[in-house]
Amino acid sequence: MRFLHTADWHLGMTRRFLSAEAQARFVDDRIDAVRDIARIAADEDCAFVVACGDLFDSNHVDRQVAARALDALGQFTVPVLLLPGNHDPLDAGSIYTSPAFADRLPHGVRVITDSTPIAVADGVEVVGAPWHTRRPGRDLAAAALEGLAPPRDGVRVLAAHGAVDVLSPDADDPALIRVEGLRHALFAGAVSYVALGDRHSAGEVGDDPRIRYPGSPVATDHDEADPGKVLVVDVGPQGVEVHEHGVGRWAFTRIAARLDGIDDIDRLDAELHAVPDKSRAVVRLALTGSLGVAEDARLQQVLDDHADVLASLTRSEGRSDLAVVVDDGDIDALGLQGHARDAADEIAALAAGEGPDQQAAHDALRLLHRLTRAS
Amino acid sequence: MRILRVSLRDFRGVGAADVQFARDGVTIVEGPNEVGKSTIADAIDMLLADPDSSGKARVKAAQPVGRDVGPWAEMQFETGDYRVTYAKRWVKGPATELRVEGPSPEQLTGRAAHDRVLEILEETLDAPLFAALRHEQGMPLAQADLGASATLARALDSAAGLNAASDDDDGSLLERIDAVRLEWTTPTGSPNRARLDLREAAAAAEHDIAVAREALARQEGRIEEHRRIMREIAESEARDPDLVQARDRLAADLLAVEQREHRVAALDRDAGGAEARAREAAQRRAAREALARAVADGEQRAAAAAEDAARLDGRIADSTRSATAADEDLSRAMRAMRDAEEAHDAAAAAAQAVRDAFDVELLDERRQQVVAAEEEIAAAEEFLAGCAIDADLMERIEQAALEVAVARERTRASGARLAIEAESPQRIVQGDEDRLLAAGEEALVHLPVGEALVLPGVARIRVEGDGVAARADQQAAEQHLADLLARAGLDPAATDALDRARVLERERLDRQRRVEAARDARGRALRDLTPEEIDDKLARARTRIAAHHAGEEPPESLDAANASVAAAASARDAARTAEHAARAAHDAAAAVLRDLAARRAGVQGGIEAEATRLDADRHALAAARAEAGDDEIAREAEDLAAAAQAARARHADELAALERDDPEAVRQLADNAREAVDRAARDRTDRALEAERLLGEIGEAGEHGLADRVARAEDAAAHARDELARAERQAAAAELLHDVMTRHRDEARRAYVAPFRAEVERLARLVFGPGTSVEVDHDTLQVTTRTHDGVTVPYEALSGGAREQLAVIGRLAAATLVSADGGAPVIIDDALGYSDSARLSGVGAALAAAGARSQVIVLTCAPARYGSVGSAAVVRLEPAGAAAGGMADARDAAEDVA
Repeated sequence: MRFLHTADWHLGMTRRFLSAEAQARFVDDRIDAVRDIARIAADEDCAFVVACGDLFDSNHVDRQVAARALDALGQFTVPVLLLPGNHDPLDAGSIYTSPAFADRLPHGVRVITDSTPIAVADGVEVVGAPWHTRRPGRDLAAAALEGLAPPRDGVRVLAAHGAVDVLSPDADDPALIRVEGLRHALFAGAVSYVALGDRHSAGEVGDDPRIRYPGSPVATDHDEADPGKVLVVDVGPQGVEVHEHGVGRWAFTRIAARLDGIDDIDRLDAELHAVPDKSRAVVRLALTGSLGVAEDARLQQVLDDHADVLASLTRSEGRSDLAVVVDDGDIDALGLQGHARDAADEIAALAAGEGPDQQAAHDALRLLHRLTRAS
Repeated sequence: MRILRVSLRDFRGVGAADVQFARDGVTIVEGPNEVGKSTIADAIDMLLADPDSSGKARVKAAQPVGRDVGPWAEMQFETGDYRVTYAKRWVKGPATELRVEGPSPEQLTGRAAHDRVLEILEETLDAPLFAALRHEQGMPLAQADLGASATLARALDSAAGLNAASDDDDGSLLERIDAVRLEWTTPTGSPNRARLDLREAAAAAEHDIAVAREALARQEGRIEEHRRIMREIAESEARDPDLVQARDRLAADLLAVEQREHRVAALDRDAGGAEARAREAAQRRAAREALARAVADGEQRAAAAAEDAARLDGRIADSTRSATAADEDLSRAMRAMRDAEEAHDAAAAAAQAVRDAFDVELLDERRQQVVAAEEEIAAAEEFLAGCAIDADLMERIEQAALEVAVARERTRASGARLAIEAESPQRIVQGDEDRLLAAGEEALVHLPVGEALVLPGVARIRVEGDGVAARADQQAAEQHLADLLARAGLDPAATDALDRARVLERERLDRQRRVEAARDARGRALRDLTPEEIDDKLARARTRIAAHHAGEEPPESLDAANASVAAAASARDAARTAEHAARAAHDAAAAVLRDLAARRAGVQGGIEAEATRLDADRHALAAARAEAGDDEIAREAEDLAAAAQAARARHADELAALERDDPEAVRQLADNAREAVDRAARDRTDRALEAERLLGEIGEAGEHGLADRVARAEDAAAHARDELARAERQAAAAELLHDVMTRHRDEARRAYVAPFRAEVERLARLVFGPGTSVEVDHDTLQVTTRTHDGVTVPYEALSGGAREQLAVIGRLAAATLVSADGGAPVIIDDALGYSDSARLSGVGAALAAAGARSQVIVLTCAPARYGSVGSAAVVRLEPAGAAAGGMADARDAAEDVA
């Protein structure tokens, strides 16, 4: 029995560091990813698709997002089960119960609203642990499994959403999913596979291949490991076999560079040039080192050029330590003489100092640099 | 720049001229005004600025008057590394030729040549300095604005020992800095509109976030509220079975208690009925007893009333007797009183009769007096009526008589007094007088005028004269008197007529007096009465007297009569008093009798009413007893009372049992349980409605993509913040750069003013004498004050000559300082008109001193002004006619001098 396991679509998600134009692309690509998943499910001959929560970034997304999501969901040729997660809980404001969504749900797509086993295909049941509130205050997976006997025949899959206790730094969260409970259910045969959602990084849990997060199909942040995938899961008598399929095109990249001269800047320039699929690349720079004024101006030029091409290019404040050092050579290079040179020297001294004008002095030097070059 | 030669052909008033200029040093170009040495300067300007095709006014004006030729000029000059010969013809046959001899040879014509020259000048010539060092004729020689010259600035930097200024024009760098600065800042250093707009946009974006977040928070609040309500409904439903069970159990308890309450009520009703019946029986017994008592009481009261009636009847009889006696007494007293009154009236009448008799006597007498007076009056009035005289007539008569007498006397006086002595008897007749004089008798005769004395037979003697008029007057007077007397009814002819008139008048007066006296007398007699009233009174008195006298003897006297009257009055008063007493007694007796009669009538009424009532009571009692005897009634009352007591006891027992059950508590508990169930249901309904409402609101708000809106607002705010931060950083950088750069520029200017000032002072001392010093504005490099002999004077306050000299000195100083750098020639077009000769020699020295290091060109029509310039080359310009001989070579001249 083969099915497709996905989660954390976060449709409607916005990212502050994206320009309006890049943001639109970001939103569109997430919708397109759903179409890709439909295609993979068909191509891989999956019996059904289970999407484990946080399919919408919020219950309060724009109705346009909901409409386009419905359109994409219409592409599926196999049954699809949608599990409400902590971002899109089945509360009074739920997008799943809103008329705009519920009334237009395509045939074959079903929202899991309780933990009653759902016969999704021949000999296959899915037990869901949907979120009804953003703070359920208990282990919903454990609640769904409680009193669940092994199926008389066939396979049962648990679809749940949330952090697992073995991976969460907040051990006191009552909503954590206890992995021990999952293991027990697997051992008892109550379920054969635990399809999880919440983590945006793909991976198995507790070294058990039967307990898995598929990760977000389209990357959402820099701190995600291995996103951009869905899982095609085979459950058979021999156990579980999982294959990853790439979906998302967005890449969140960190580039750390030490810049001590024009060569380093050129290397960084080349590295940025080499970033693939630039309009979907979010690059964050961690820059260290020490540059002269002219070099700093050059760096600024390089970064400005790439910022125009990349989906986003930002400098990580916390991880950057790039000093701009002003020396006589820099000032000489301006070609200034007389009192203009004296003025440049004074500003250079301010830039080198620790005074409140330091930043302004750096900027002033850069400006002076530009203006003298322009002449 | 060095101008080496200028050649002119057909240029304004100059037919042909070639002027060579000393490369360094002073060249003085002399020329009369009509030649226009300014032509040289204008030709230089036109060559450098105006294309050969130019149609400018000054270009047209360069054509010689009345000649159809094109003005032509050529200039040979060096600038930077270039050595240039440059010629142009305008207006007719326009042409431009350029020959660059070095550094690399070039030859161009037409527009290309013009543009190339501009390019070379742009490259090598400090245009502001070139303009500043030129002075044009006709303009007041003011100080040049040297502040804008980069060449000068460089030279000054260098002279001040500062770093040489960069190739880059720091002025334009400052302008560029300023341009960048003005992107975000106003000229005065405040944030400009664009920056303020960004600040406002950032603030507005933050506000938008707050609004969007609040909307989202409200939505989440509603969702949470909905969840809470649904949970509470579920909890309430879970509690419901317990509540229902309790309610049903307590309802059963309540039912049992209520049944007992019904029983108690029934028993109460039974007891109440029995008690009512017992009360009725007791009432019947009481009524029977009351009726019997009423009959007995009525009989007693009837007896007592009869006694009262008898007693009253006795008293009425006594009183009736007393009243009769009083009645008789009264009648007697009344009669006595009438008699007394009659006696008194008779006495009074008698007294009256006496008084009447007196009255008659008096009245009669008065009546006679009246009659007598009236007779008197009548007689007198009769006389008076017939009397023709009166006081007025009498007076006129008297007057007339007097006048007659006077007239007569006058007549007599007018006659003649004749003494007639009769010698023989002689009769003499005068008027009526006829007498006879005896012989020897003498008669004195008065003969009035008009009269004649007749001596009969002898003579008629008449007196003639005025006496005639007097006689006429006399006759008139006598006639007047006669008329008056006749009017008085007298015969005038009578000699005593006058006397009789007087008698008559007296008689008339007397009669008048007597009438008045008679009237007085009549008035006194009448007093306040008329004669008729007196007659009336008399008649009445006489009647009374007659009446009285008919009966009795009249009293003896009035006193006696009055005494009788007084006695009769006393008797009458006594009789009246007695009558009053009798009447009072009579009235009292009658009152007593009336009172007793009334009381008796009252007693009688009571007796009769009582009898009627008693009769009715007796009949009623008899009828009742016939129906049920008194004993029977009493027994029935006792039986029914006992039955009622028994019923009430049964009720009391059941009631006590009910109270032991505490029905109120049971009811409250049951009510409470029911209410709890109901309230829970109501509460659930309310909450369900509230949840429904919230759901509606949630759905409504969910339409708006609240999270997206927050995200969008946050994005917008982040962008706005970034943009603002960038702008603020740029503004701060530009501001800092601008401030520092400006400050250094100003400091530098102040520094390089020093060499300029030193040069100015060096030259100024040549002109104004040792010890002269100046202050110089570091921006414009213009002299602001001059100090000489310890006196400091602002430039504007200096004399025209001194100002002019300083203006020249400033240019020379600048030219001297920039000479090493190429610089520009100082061109002075006919200046120093205000300077005296002493100063002119100083200026000449200054020009020479400056000329040692720079090119100075002086154009003048007054060569004497510049005679003191030591090392000057002099060129004379001649008018067009003498052009051929007017060429000069300044270089040669300068060499000559050298």
